[in-house]
Amino acid sequence: MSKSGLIIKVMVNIIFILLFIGPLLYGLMNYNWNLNLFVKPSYSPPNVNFNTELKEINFIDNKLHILLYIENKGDINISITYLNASLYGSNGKYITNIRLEKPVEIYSNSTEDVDLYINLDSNAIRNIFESFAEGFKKFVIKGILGIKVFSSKVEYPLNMNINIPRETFIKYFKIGFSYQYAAYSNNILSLYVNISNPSQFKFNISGWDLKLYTPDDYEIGRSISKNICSIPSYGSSIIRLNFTISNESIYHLLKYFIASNSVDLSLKGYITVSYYGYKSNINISMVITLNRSIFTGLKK
Amino acid sequence: MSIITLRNKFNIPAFIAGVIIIYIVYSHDPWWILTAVGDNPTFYAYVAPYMIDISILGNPINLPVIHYITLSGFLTYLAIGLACIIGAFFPSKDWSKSLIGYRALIVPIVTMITLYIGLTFARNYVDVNIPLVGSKIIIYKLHYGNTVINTYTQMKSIFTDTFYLAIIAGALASIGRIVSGKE
Repeated sequence: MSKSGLIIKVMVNIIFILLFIGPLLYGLMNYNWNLNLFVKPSYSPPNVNFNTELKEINFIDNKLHILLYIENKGDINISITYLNASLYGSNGKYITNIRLEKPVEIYSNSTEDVDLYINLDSNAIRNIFESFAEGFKKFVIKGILGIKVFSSKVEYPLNMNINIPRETFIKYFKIGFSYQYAAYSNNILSLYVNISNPSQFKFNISGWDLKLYTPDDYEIGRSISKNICSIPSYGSSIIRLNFTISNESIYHLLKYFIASNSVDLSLKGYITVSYYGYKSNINISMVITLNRSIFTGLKK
Repeated sequence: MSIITLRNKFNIPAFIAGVIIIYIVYSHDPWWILTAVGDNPTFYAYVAPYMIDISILGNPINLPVIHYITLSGFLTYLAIGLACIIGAFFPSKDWSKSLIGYRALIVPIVTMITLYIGLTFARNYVDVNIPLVGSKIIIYKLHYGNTVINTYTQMKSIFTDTFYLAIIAGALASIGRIVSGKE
């Protein structure tokens, strides 16, 4: 190689070395030759923070509807994509599966309602009533809540206590009461009341405590029973409520019959229904129209 | 030999290599992409000798040394391209070899080796197993209060067309070097 060629070769190599090393040396100089500072990464991760709370429980079309309130207090949007969870009794007994109605996107610093549904099939109903019967008030939702954060799938363990209100639960079965007719004999007034069951679950009537009042709130009789009768699913049964009527009560009733052929009496109290061992008192308040004709046997 | 150097008047492969390298630097496209699969990726890394762009959960990772490494890479790779073009006009000169050189081929190879070392480091020290090329679901456990949250992120890593273009440019520059400096 010629001398000029050698000089050019050396120059080129020096230039490449300077171009390669120069910026690094310049950078180190800018950081006061502090190598730790020079290679120290800085990253401020976004805040990921959200709360789940139970908002309400109600019944919609044979389903138990659980409304969750999710608050996204973080910096990034999240999407609730799926739920793989079940409802358990507080004794840990499996009751039924829970499903997410639809995926929900929750933007940063906002809140969204998330609808969960529990299909109330016969097993689920039985399990819930058996838990009630065993004295458990609380239920637990356990499982995995699938959340999408950016393109990642996040499995958030869900462990939430819920309280299924017993009375609300019983009301869901829409037990119907209707007065049919009355009969009177030997100081016993018998009221025949039809109990209808529009649900697919049979239940038992295991007793009642009912009182009959005149329009001026005079108690004319009380019916207490611990008889058990069964009400079939999608069916009805007529129960007989016997009231022992004292002479004083008859006298009180007759005062109304002097003025009119009929009197509207109030039937108040409760009937005890029993589903799978769980007993619940259902309050009754209904108007019974008694016709004077049922007392035709009375001695004047 | 004399055909591809136009009878020692013009080094065609070195010139083409230089033009390709200048184009690559101008395009500023990454050579290697690692990204989470999806519309709004949880993580991405775009890497080339002249650019390194890393973001996790929408926020970038800033590392001072990266800025100066990419500046160094940018200047060096640009100089390699320019040197190839200049060297292409003097194919008969013995010093043209030092202008054209094997540097254009060394840069993509070193980039690939550096990536491999970086990913091995990540596997050993951060316990994140990312393939150099391919797709993998990365499972990461986050501790949130008393609960452990599992995160699943499908990652995909590829060498881009720009990287393969850089390999071609490196191969052409190497051919250019072999044929240059022959009187």
